[in-house]
Amino acid sequence: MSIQLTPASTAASIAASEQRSSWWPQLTHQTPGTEPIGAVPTPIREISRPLPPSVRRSMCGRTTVAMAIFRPEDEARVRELFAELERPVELLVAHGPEETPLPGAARDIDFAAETERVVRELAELAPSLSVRVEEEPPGFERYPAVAVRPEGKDAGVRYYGLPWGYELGSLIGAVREAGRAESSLSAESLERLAALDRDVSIDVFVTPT
Amino acid sequence: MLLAYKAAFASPRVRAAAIESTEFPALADAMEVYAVPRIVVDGVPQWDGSVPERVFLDRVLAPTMT
Repeated sequence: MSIQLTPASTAASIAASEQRSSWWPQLTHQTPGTEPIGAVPTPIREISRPLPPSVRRSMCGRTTVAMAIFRPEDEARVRELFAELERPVELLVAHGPEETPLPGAARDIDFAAETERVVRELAELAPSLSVRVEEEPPGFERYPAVAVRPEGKDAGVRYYGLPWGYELGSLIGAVREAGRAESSLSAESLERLAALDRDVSIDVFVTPT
Repeated sequence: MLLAYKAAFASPRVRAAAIESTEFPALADAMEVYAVPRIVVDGVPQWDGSVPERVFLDRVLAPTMT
């Protein structure tokens, strides 16, 4: 499953400079596993006349219009996945003091507000998914953050930052796992985890794309 | 990422966090994040990249290398 999210303000600039059809995963003639990774899409038809842009867009200024986080077909897919949730899951959004992002990074983005918006939109896709927003709750090391809580209980699962791009897929995966009555790990893995006699803390550094 | 989350859901002794590197550059620098996903166990950088479940647990459950 590959679901991408581009934050609204960035999306507006991308949309201004590229055709709409090119900023989502591209459909090619490739069938995974049967063709070399480097295979290129086969053009369906050739366009020999110049194509003027259908809408003139300004590159100056930023739009503040919030865009939906999913395309309709992706939204339907996520709804399907969330329909399989066997128990309620709570998404706790934690706001607090933020670190300054890297120079050149999208600093015009309000990470906290975007995170809350993404999580709220996600929660609308399943009745068993709820959202709580708190200011500097205990158990968080940095902000913004999202905790995925099966049945409203803390399982030590956090996402620090805005879950966008492919990382939105990780959050969806976490919700699905939290909604399962039984772990999707193998019996062997579960045995090994049960035998653990100390606390383990795993941090996974990711980037949105 | 999902394996870390699954392990955390499965065990009360495990906690798992995804950290968006570009939003937390100081921490990403400290953990020498040059490639993602970079897996850090108990504050010690361990490896980069996705691995199968068994390998993931082998590495995560091994006594922390310092």
